[in-house]
Amino acid sequence: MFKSYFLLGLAVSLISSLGASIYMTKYYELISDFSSILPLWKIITCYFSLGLIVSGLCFLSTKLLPKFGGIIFNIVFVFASLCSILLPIMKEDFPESLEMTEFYPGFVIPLHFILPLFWLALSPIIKKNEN
Amino acid sequence: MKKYSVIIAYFSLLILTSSLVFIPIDRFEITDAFSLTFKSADPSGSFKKMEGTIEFNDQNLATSKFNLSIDISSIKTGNGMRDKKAQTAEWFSSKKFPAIQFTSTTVEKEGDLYKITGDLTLKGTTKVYVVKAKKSGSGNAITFTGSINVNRMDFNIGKKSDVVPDIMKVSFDLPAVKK
Repeated sequence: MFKSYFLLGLAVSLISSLGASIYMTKYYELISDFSSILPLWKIITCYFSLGLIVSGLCFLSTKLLPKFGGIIFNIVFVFASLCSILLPIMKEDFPESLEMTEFYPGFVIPLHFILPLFWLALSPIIKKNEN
Repeated sequence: MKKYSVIIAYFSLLILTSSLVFIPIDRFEITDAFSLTFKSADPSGSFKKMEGTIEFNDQNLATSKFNLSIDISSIKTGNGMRDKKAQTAEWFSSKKFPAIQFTSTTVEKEGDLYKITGDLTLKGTTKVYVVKAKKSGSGNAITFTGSINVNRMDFNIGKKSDVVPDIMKVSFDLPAVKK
């Protein structure tokens, strides 16, 4: 069972990284280049570690509370993602040479939701396998 | 046994990716103390204005990146007439292409040197060049020193001539401080 969660975490990380790569590359090309403070590799590694952490925590919560563990975990995960957008909003320590920093929060906020969205989209696969 | 191998794989990947997340992005900016000279039988000179950033991490060269922009109007050859001629369409065409750009694609270590492969854009033409540089300093201030041979004919700079050689030896000394 843990293997399914592990594979789901990897799949979600992979698809999210792909989505983020397209979004970030286009944004840096067309609007403003923030790659000096947020390079693509950083987001990909972040998604992979988050994907694995999320899959591990979801596995634990379903083990502890078989009936509602998954739902509670998903709610907590969405709430945590929502709260995490405060980080880019409050960020102030930009390098002096970086331009258009006022766009930074607007650019980063969608990145905070890519992984949770793919997690919510793909996690029913686990439920289907369990049934 | 199979169960344990999944758990081991999980934690190994988790540790690996988490450690990569926390690798700092060391961003340096090139200071005004830089030197960028070109030398040939005739002419020789230097560029006086340059901007650039270096993202450099010795422990993770895959994430390192050089991004340089050299202002062509700042060329100094020791002869005012020649400096003006260098701006014309026959040479650098600085009105249309005001800067020389270098953006690295890979940075590798080769013994004591760093092998920096990147795209050199001059007069609207981009060619891949490999630059070998020596790093000195550490912490908040580093300097990259080296030289590279640039063939001006690769970029249609000037016409073939017996007076001005095709190959120019460009030497650089790039001091940079952490931002």
